Amino acid sequence: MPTLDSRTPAGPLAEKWTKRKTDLKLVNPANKRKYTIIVVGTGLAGASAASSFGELGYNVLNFCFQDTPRRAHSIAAQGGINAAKSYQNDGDSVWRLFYDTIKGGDFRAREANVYRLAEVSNNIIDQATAQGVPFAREYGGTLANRSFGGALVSRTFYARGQTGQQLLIGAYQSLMRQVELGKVKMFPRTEMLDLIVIDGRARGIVTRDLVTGKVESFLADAVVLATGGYGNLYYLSTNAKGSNVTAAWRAHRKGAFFANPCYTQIHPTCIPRAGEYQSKLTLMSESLRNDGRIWVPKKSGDGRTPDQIPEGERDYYLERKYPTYGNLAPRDIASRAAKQACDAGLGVGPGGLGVYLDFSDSIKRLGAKAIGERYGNLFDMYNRITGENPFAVPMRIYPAVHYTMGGLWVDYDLMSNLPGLFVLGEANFSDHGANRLGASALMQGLADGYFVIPYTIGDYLARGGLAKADNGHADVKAAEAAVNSREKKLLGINGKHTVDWFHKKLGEIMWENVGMARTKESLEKAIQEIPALRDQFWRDVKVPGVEGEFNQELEKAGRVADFLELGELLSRDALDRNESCGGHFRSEFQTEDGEAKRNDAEYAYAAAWEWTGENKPWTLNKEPLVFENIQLQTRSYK
Amino acid sequence: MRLTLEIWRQKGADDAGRFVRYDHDDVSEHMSFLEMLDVLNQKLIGKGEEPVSFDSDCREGICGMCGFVVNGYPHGPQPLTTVCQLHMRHFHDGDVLRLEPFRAKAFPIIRDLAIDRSALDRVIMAGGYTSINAGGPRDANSILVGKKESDLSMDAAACIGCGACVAACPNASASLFTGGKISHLGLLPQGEPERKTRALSMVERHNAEGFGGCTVIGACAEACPKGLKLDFIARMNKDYLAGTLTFREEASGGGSG
Amino acid sequence: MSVATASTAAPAKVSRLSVFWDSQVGKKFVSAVTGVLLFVFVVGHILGNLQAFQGAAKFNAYAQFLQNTKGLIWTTRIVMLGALILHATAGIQLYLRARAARPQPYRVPLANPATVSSKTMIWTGLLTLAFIVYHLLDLTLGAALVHSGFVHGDAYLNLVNTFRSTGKVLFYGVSVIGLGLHLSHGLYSLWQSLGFRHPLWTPSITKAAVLIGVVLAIAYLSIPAGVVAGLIRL
Repeated sequence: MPTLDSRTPAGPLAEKWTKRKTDLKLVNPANKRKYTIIVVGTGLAGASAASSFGELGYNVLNFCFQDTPRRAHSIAAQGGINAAKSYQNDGDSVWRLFYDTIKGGDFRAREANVYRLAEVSNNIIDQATAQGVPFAREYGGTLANRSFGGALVSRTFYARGQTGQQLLIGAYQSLMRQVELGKVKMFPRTEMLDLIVIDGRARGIVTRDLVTGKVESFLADAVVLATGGYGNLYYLSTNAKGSNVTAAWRAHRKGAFFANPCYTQIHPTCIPRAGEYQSKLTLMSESLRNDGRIWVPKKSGDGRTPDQIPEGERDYYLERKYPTYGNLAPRDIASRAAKQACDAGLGVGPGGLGVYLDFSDSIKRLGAKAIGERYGNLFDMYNRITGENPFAVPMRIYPAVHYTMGGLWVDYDLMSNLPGLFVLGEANFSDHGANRLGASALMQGLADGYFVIPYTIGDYLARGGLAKADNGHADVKAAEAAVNSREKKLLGINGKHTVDWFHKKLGEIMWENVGMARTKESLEKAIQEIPALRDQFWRDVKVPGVEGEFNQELEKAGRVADFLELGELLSRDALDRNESCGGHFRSEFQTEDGEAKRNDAEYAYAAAWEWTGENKPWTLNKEPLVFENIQLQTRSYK
Repeated sequence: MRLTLEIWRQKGADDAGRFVRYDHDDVSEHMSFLEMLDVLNQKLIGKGEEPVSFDSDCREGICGMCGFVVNGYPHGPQPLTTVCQLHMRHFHDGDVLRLEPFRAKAFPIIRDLAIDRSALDRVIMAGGYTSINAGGPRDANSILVGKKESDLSMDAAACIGCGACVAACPNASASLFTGGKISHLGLLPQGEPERKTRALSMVERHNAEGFGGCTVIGACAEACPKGLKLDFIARMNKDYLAGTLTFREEASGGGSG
Repeated sequence: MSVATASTAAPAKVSRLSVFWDSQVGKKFVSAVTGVLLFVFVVGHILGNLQAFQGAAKFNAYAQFLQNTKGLIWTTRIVMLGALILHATAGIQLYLRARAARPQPYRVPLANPATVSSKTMIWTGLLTLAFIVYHLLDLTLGAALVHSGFVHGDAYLNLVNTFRSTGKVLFYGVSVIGLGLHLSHGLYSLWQSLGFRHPLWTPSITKAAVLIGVVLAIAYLSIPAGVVAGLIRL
């Protein structure tokens, strides 16, 4: 099996990034304006990269499918952003942040990348503060911190419950400054539908103007994808409705390897779905588990309201199974335990898909006022969505797909195996290994965009060797023709079922078989069912309208078609990984306590899958994960 | 529950547009408003009709992409709630709901309830930032900001750019949006160097984009799903006046340096 | 489609004053400052004219005093005329700009919780403007067209004569009520236009503005009421 080289610099861990920065080739400032860079996506990674390129003097073409770059889904992050500032004098350091992140990722991330992430985390806080991001402050005027899961220090910076929004607005404002200065040309409501590869290098993209339907090609010296994760593969997730895998998947089909797709994070505290029509799920901050107790009725099918169920007939299952950690058991464990309870028919609420998160004990102990001060805004949000008052009745929660650790494979410079194609943020297979810690996604997106890619892309450009190409090039024409014919095909099927119908079906298959707990059998079932659904989609989907106009159903159809391919790969990756780690839990591989059992001897690698053609098996490429600086351990929460 | 919907249907900018009536008898009180429209659209597609176009993305009230007018209320009648977070339990069986796009010269209609709000981006482009590059800022704690100022700045920064203020204003003014950004940055020491020039350039861009002026009616603040207050417009006015009084020709207008 | 299409920055070489006047904030500032001047006149005018309740001799003496103090009266006239022109121009232009900002009106009217006074500023303003013109013709210039028995120098007589006409009383009444409404919003919003708003003071300012509007309207109404009731008579 082929192995992949991450091109990580040699030398001591703490000096690798410095060494790389010293060795990188530079582009003469006067020559930067001769280069054009395409950036797809305007979330934290995309906006920070595009604005940084503009500041350096490159010409930037920046694309997003939303109506303005400020909408990207980074905006929904609530909790905060980690940095190793050690402002609290509690012994934090770059090393500790590095170690917590790599341990949180269940030892399936690349050491050197994670260390670099921890190293630049402090610059991010400085940068965001200078931009005017209104981080929470102490009375003395210094920045406030709070603690977050997976860490014993307070290193999380936050702006109320809107940290992602404020960081994104900061990056967006810098981006708008570059647009005003003419260095960045912004293309909102424009979706990337294919990657243009010329002579083995990424040279451009084919896009569709979502307002006019016009299909167009853009060429550049390098292409940067910052297009987010693929959680919407499951239909219901905490992602935005528009979040999709299309840009990354189209690049994958053009040769970029897709790594570790099976690493999906399922968050335990989301508001359960209310009915068939549910369009997305909303996350409730994990912090609620500090004061809420999780329980289900002991009796299956108990129809009583929670206040009528006496204490003795309730099962506080997390406290029972994990006496030490109790309700604060880690995300993956809490999620799986909730699913087990519901599978056993003990779930509450519509469809029996929910468990209680009960604050009545805390309210008795601390008073409603104290609880209101801690969680008031979350209670309001819950009340707005469900119409129920958590002060009076227990919340109902259920796990939901939240984040995807897998993505396009990249080397230390964030370049994919396809030269000229760089991938940032959640879209790459990332620095989080098999599981991401809270408050680390914002950190990674901004680290990639502000402090890594501006250096490494210069090295690629300075090495030159790009052939001249224009929109008349045969490869450009071919890519455009493929996009056009795919649209015509989608519109021409005129079958029985809507795009959403297929998307929901796919989501059900994924959630049932490739969700929180996977088995060989369930994965094989998914690998049978997904291609069949895909065939049915291409025979029987109904996409109304025409291509040359604003057509939201056509947009969705293209995205679901790609999800139907990714779903199969994700299942195959999960089947191939005969171990449990982080967000990938194979029921066959667990300890007696029900915890994930890794197999470091055989699976300490990143699985990078190579597309070999339509209806052909993927080829697996491995990047061995070498741990020079830390000891691999088993996580325990007893 | 059963609802009667009268929805504004308009093919594009050149089409005149009209209300079309739909009987919707498949509404659950637990649905969000947009889920209610999703269900309607699935039915329309099934019947071979064109689904209703409307924008949304995060559906948790933070991205600002959704928004239309329900019975005269931008984002519907619930205070501090975007239409994606508005749930059907606030309506009654038999209600007649009229859905119109946000209307303003600066917000051309793309299709049905979807509009083009890029004018708001261009107002930000005129100076809604601090002119610093990535790479060289000093340590974050070397800039001290009082908690009150910081919290007030956050109140202003909470704007999601949805345009409901423009939709609600009888003058179609984007003063609350513009004042929010001027206040967010102007309240912080980081934004102080460009405070006055920022106010000048952003207000003038606001006018150039065709928004109306503020006459202190207050409908914007009532409609704002994030609770931005009229105070931020007063602050915009103050900074604009200060900018005019202290204006010097050498200072190239706009803080875009 | 690209974001950077329609926008234009102000041209580099342009008078700051004209940019200021052209901007909504500048117009509102001018409107606020001139509004304050006009308000001061409105207060002074009623304080002087309430002397009508003290009889013809006192009232005419006051009128005579004003006529003789040329410097004061002409300064006031010039300042007021200038303020009025600026105030009205700014108001009308803001209104027209607002109209242009929403060329396609809502088919279902907006359910605005805004006050009547704030939404009717243009109409109460235009009404006041029309009234001022008429009022000057009627009681200052004594134009034959609107006031047939006008006697120069006998302000008291002219006043009583005017309010013996029901039509004039009605027009006057409606106009000063409109003025009261106009002031009850204007006296609050001018602070905002000058950039002052504070959680401590603004609620009181809002209430005080309404109170002053009502009091002034009542004070102005008291004069025709006095004539009708016979308290002010020849």
